[in-house]
Amino acid sequence: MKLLKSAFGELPGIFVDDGALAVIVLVLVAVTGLAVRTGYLDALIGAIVLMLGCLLVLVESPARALRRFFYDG
Amino acid sequence: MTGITSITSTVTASFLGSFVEIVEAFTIILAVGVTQSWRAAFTGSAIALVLLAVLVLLLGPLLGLVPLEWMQFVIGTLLLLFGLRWLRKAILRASGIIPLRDEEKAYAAETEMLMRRAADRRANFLAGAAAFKAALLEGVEVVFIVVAAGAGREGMLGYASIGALAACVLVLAIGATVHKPLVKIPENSLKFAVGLLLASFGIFWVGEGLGANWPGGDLSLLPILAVFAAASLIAVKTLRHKLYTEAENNL
Repeated sequence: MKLLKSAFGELPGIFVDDGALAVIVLVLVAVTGLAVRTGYLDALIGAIVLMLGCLLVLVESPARALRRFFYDG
Repeated sequence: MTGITSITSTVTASFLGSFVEIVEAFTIILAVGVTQSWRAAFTGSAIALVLLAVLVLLLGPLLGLVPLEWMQFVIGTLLLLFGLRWLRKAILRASGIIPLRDEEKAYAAETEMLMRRAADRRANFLAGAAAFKAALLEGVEVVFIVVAAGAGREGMLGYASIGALAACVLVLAIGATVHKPLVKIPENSLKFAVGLLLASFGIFWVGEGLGANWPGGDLSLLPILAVFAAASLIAVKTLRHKLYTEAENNL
């Protein structure tokens, strides 16, 4: 049982490495989803906005890691 | 044309993603087999695979009950998280900020740990547990990749499964031939490619789940992939330059 618990306990790590990246992506998905569902944004525009947001996050996250590498040791 | 694009991208994503995961599991299971016992290695792996099969058989039919749009949205989101995580790490490795994954080092670390436990009367159980955990965790990732790559379109699950099966057969064939950790596999390049594919699939499926009418249908995957690839390569180049500059300033 302990072994199963330990194994399944590591499963969230499959999706989350950098917590901030994961949270931002989820917020982006939620906001675009809401904007599309409420008719504020066209679905295709929403998907493109989501893609651009993910690209920004993708570039920012390693840049943050680099700053930590030099300034936090 | 659209069908060929779907099939090719699904099989490729499933094959490459599964290949990388199975190589990681193979390293640990090989370490267990060589250091402790092959019985412990095979028993642990077999139990994990049976457990996975049971989970897939129990949960698989539930996928059919979920409305397609919801499934595309949820799986697309999970694919985005999974793909961006791999891409982020591949960018960090390619730019030199973190070291490349070394299967030989991973194998040595696992072997050392197993040797330290060799005197323990539960050594065989502990070794089998290591094989079980490796097979289960990497197996779950393979199942996720197969489901995520194939669930968004009817008939694609079979192709995704074929990709994963081909990867499994290839890793086992290479492993059986060399009897060593698969160090010559360009793991970071593969993870980069898989990260790009999965993140692109993620955007595509979330879009479909929201009701987006992608121009050209499945062919839209190609420009999405191209945009992610361009951004990732620019990020690697920029970070490498910054790392080099900072290192020079610190000298």
